[in-house]
Amino acid sequence: MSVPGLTITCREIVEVMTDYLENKLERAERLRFERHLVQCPPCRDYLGQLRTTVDQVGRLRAQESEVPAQTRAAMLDAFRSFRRGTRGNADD
Amino acid sequence: MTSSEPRTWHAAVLQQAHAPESALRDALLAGDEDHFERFVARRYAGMKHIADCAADPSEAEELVQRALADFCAELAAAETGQSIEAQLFACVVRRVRARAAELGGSDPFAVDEPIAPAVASERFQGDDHRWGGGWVAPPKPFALESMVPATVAELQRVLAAGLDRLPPALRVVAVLRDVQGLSSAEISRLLSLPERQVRERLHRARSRVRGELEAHLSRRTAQEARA
Repeated sequence: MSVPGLTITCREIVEVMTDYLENKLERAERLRFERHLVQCPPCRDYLGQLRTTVDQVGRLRAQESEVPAQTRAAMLDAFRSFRRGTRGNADD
Repeated sequence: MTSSEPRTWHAAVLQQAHAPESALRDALLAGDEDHFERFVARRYAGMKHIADCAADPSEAEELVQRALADFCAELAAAETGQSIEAQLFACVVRRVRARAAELGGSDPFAVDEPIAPAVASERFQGDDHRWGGGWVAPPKPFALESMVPATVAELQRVLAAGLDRLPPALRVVAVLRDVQGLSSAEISRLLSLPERQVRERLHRARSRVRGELEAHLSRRTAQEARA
């Protein structure tokens, strides 16, 4: 909930959370942002939700996918061509 | 709380992504097939998320195959100044764009919808209220640490589906930044977008996916309460 004296509202702060997480806020903006969070539990919870979302999306990277057979065959063909090319050059 | 506080696991993933860059590049340049297969397997889902942005999603698999061929052809080229990750995804983006151009379409990664607020306006008090701009319906912590692994796995599927529902302009940035760990600078170069626009799209993508996760967890909690 917005508190008298704060110069950024909750509605405004949610719009700059990515800039905050990406460390792109100017110093004065960052201080204003952090002052608001100190006094606003719901905005802290929202920031926590956003952090959790980013962390969990990041975990999708750790999952190795099964590459379809046709794609696997095509990519290995391409890689072997590259390898033949470099080994051919090395033999020159 | 400080602005330099790391993004916990996400920051660690980014560190892992870039720490073994030279070792990975050396292995690929040496023709190590095992490394190449693992390299692609870990990035295949991300490549597919982006290739699915094509005008005809049924062509996505073929676009991924062509992008991989392009990547292999470029491996022996002189140092591009990009990470090997960025090189791979640049190939995917180029193929998707090239296919759109062949079909006479516009850039599939261009923004084509009005900007919406990160959170629906009805969740805040109106400006005429004493607490104008303050929460009416405040968020609750997700508290994933108290969930069983099966629930967390379910949430991963919700997130993957949420990424796929993003419009291409937002999806490509979310996948490159939050899944694959590319820096904003790399994404800016790869998409030929100012970094400010990359962050703006990232913000919109994250806000939407967060909203979907919140809605899913609310439904889940309501179902459990009725059970």
